[in-house]
Amino acid sequence: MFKAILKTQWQWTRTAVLLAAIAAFTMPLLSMNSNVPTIQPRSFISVMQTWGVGYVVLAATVGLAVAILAWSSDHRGHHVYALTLPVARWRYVLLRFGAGVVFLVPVVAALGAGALLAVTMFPIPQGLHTYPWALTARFGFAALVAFAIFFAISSATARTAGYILGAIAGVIVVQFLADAAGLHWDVVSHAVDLVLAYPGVLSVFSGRWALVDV
Amino acid sequence: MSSLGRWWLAGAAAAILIGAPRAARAQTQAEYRARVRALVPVWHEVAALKRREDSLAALTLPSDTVRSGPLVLLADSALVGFARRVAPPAAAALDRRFGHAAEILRSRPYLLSRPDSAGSPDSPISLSEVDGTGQARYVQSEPPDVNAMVWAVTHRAAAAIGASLGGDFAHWLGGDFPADTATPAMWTGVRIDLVTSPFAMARACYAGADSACALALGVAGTDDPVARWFDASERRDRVRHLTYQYRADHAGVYNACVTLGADTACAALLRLMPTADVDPPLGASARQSLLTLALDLGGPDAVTRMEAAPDDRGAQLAAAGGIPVDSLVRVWRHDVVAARSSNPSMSWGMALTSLLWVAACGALALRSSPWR
Amino acid sequence: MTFAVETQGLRYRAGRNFAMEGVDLHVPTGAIYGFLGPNGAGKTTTIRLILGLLRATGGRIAVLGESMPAARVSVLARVGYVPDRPHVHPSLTVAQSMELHAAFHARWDARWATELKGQFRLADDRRVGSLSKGETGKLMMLLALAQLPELLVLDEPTDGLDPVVRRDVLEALLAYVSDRQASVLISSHLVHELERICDWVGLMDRGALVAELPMREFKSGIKRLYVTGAPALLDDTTPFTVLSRGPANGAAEQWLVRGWTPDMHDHVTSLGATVTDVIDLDLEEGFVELLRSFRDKR
Repeated sequence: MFKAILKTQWQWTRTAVLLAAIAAFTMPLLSMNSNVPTIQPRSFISVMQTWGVGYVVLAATVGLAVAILAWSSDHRGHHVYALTLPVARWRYVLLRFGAGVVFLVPVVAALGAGALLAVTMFPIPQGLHTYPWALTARFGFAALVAFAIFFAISSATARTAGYILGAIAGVIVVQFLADAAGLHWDVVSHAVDLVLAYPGVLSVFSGRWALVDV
Repeated sequence: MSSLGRWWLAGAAAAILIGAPRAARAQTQAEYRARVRALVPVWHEVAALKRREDSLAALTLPSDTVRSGPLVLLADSALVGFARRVAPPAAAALDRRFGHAAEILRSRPYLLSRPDSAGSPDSPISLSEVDGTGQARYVQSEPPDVNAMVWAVTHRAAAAIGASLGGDFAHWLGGDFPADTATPAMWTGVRIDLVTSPFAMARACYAGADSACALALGVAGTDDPVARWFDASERRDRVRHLTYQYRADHAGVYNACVTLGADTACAALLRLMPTADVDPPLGASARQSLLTLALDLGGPDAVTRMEAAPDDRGAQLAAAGGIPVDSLVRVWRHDVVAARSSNPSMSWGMALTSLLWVAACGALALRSSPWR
Repeated sequence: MTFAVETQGLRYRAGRNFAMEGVDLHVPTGAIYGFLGPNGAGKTTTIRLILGLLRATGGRIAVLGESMPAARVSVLARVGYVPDRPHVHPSLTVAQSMELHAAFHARWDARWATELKGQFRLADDRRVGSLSKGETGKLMMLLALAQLPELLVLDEPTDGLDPVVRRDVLEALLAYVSDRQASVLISSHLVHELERICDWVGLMDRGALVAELPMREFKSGIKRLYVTGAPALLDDTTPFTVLSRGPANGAAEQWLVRGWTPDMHDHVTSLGATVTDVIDLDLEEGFVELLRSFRDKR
């Protein structure tokens, strides 16, 4: 059953996965390559951290794409096929989820391979250290979290998605009203902190993302 | 603003207005610079007058005195309760850190006030230092939070205590006198500074040479810092980044250094600078961390011993830490190098948290409605 | 009589314009049940409610003796479904869609599936998205049949297909039903098609089940009578049901009746009227007249 889901889901996910894998493989190499003319460690780290944003964006994009594509077939057919299969809903969701997680593996592996190759090929300033495994692990977890979030949203009904958007809009409206009332409530900042600061749901995306660091 | 202040401001404005067209007409840059230099003292005097007027305004508020150990807080009746909550923890922290050296605070009260006396209870509270002549100098504002004000008072007090060590030491330190004990974050920051330093001496320090650390921190080699702290390319680089003033005043030497690459010219030009303008290779945060370590090792009487020590950085730091300065630098380097987090990109906690969120989102998906 | 599908008081509402209020549907076990109705009558909605694709707001549904949607998984394992629109992802090939379907159906008959594929002339490597409408219809039927269901639910399975494809599909269906004694619920608005294959017929309009009866009764029992001297009112003893009455040529009236048999002439005569002509209606005419009378009553 899982094999069949894996095989069919691959049909409409493979383009995105292959593109993401290419990007993941080349990004560490490009980040090191762009550092070659730089000799100062501080500049080196600065460039590395700039590229760190690229890893974050790629992880989020891969997670989003694989999650959306996991459900694309069902959304397209208004879930009729899935709902007429003799399988419990939770089991079907688990199959789709599992297949999506499997498709993240080649992208993460590509990043790992690119990172290892990059730290082998290019010199780094004395005193700095390379973190190919840590970066790969972090990328993997970030992609997984992004995938899980978007997978959950995609699996929900339009009404549930509306509730989520409504909650976000609600925070903004409360901030607006608080500002209008002269109250010094920084609701948006608190909400963002709640999400981005450890142990928030997106905390894996924040912080230092660098292939080479101190 | 007082009428005197207004007159001074008017005078300064008039001087600028009169001077500006003349400056514009100046045929040479030297004339222009001379005019600007002439106006700077005027501006400083006006600013000082303004500060004095603000201090007088602050002191006109009816104030109560709150004492805790050597710490004296002045506050108006609306803030006296707040001051009573701030004083004990601040005094305790100062006693732990500075011991007897904190006694100088008895003659240096701090004033807590609200700039807007009718302000709401949520409005910020100003912290001012009151000097021996009774003048209050605004320092900073903090939200009406006891912890925030304790932090502000202890840091201002630490700066006052540290000032007793003299201007040379303050200049070498290059930043706030440390009120807190060393933290992992501090060591991590210093480590980054050390690793990313553009100076060979700092990198040699990181690589394991304790003598290089002492030089890079500016606690050794102070007889000829230009020669001992920097190599030829660093000297040239420093000259290249000198202010326009220096370059213009010493154009020949500057060109010999930068254009012709003559290291003697570079060294000569740097030696012309006041000693205070030549910073050691490692920055202020590194030097502050060394002092923090010395104070941590030395205990509450560290500053008292520093005050009694000869006027030499190495001796002062050795006195503070109670160990020879070489040993102090060795311990410092060890702590810096040990601050390397095993993995800046990922941690087990982060991994576990991520997995929990993935499980939570997965559970939500599993429970999603089958009906559309 | 047992029922492959049975609903009691089935209720559902979709927006402001469509509501089903108390639909009682009975598909006898082993029967081919034609589900008739104009577009928008609620046939597809009823089928989706029966299969658990939609959640009813009231009433009870039993499929193959099990309650829906509670027993959804076990029921769907025994039900083959051909939806009104193809539901297989267009990027899959014929072989891949068969493989996917087989993975979820324990009773999948791979050999017969291959036979049907050959019979329907479907190539393995053709993508679903590139199939013609007729080929897609055949593939849907193949998927539904090869899982060897006890009940086939077909929602407009031949709609838009050319006569040759339609014949292929219906032949495969009939062959399967005769072999397996399966029950079939087939919805269509192509009345003539159902007339040839159905045992039972249910007529739906505007969310209500207008009539449900054996096909032979439907075909033979609905007549158009031309009556002269008709009384204004008919008493309760009248042995047939007058669905509608209206003026015909001259003094005669035209009655649409159900349950008419030739021996009922005497009853009409006893009322002082005379039946001058009796016309048999085919299924489509009966369907139209039934709808008309239903709508007139509303």
